[in-house]
Amino acid sequence: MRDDPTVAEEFERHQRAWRRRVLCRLGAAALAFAAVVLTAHWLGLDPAYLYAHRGNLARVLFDELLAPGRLVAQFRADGTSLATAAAETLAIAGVGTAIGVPFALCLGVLAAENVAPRWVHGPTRLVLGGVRAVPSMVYALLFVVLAGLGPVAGLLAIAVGTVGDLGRLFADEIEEIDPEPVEAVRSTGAPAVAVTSAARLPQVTTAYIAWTLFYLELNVRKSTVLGIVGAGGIGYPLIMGFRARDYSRVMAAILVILALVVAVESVSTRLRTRFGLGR
Amino acid sequence: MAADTDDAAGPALAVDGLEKRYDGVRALDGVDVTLRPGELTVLVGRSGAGKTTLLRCMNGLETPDGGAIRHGGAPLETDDVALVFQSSALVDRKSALANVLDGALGREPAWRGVLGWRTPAEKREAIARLHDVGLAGMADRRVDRLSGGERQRVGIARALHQEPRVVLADEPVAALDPATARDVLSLLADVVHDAGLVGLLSLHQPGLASAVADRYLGLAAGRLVLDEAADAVDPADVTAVYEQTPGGDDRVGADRA
Repeated sequence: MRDDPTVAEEFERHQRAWRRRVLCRLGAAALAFAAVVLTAHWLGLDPAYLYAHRGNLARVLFDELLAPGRLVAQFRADGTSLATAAAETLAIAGVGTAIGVPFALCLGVLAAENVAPRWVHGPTRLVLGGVRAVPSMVYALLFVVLAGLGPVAGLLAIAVGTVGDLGRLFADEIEEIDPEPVEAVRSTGAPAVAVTSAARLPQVTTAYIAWTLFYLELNVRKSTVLGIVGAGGIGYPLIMGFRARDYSRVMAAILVILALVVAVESVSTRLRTRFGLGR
Repeated sequence: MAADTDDAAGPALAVDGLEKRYDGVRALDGVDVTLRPGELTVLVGRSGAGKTTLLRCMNGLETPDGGAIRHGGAPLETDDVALVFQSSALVDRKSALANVLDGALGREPAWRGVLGWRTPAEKREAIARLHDVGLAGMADRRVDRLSGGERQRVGIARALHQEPRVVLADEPVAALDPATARDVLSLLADVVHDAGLVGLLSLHQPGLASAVADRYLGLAAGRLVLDEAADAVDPADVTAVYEQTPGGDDRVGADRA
């Protein structure tokens, strides 16, 4: 038997520990706050400057971006090319995701520590991490060198980005599965590949489908801006509008992007609900 | 049934013609029973007999389709009923003390619960509850570091901290080994006797029940088929409740009576 404290002793002990914990947390919160303020100051964030120059933004916003007459004229002139660019963006995201998912699936499963041995999952995770470390925009620039300006560079960039991100999510997901069914199947003497297909993958199927739909959504958003580096889609008219300071053209492109993203999100949400994927 | 069975310890709990249907299936089919304070009643019956439904109706987690549950003549209030769960249902990342303090959330204003504001007196009281259930020195331990029996004791301390009039337990020892199960059950019995609570717990192991039960209720197909004091009951009748076919409506022991 250990020496049990009395209620009063334990209460005092708890109160001391609690006071120490509260002080530590308050101190940490104060430090974090100070760090954010100082860093923002270092970056040059100056609310007074922004307030003094509010007129610049207001002029662009109300005289050009939100002027209905100019916007209607813009859509009359550019409607077809904007619609084509939007379709191209959607296609870049769809094909890019479709190319990326099989690679993400293979690498993701191999990167799970409860599936592959250490000498396989370690390097695979490292590769996935390396792939993720490079932003999609940089991939797009690289693939422009390979495929030339246009949507092919965009869809390759989307595909590679999908492999890095989804591969990691797939690996994490499969590491959380219940080990008991896996042991049950393994105890039948099944070969390793069969154990994975019979007991591991069925546990993650719905999660994988949900993540894939989510990434399709995300990739549509990503590919809207790839055009900025010349990789096709709606980003191209957007950046050209900015360069020419033609803000009604910018606004038209933004509205098309908005419509596209909202449409894809609502379709994807509906699909997930339909298949009972609550993510 | 009126509150004519009130005794010194407090008002009785009267369940009167309770009915509950799920998609047309009768889960409870006119259950009448009066539970007295300071008495631990053990509810037996096969899976699907209506035990959990009865407990959930008493706790207000389900709304009955018919009948009433009255406590001292008034409808039973949810904050008067404490529940002890099979899985102990503790918040794993919190300490034993924090889990016990949660028992009082029902009688505090919402903002205090959200901010986690506790007075020293409340903490002292909650630590005393932990001592009452045999967990001296464990207040600041995270509950996911505790054993199954210790977790269930924290669950009971939390239920007590609610200051209930009624304590319900649905299979509270199903996940425990027999020795730990006996300890937890006798703790529950002590709590019910000492605080004069109405105590009702469902159990699948009649062998464990015999050590603590003051009274037995048996359910089969949503009907009460057994209602006897523990010192008067024939153990064979308790076992017989489990033999009842779903839909059978004979009272256990009726053929011998």
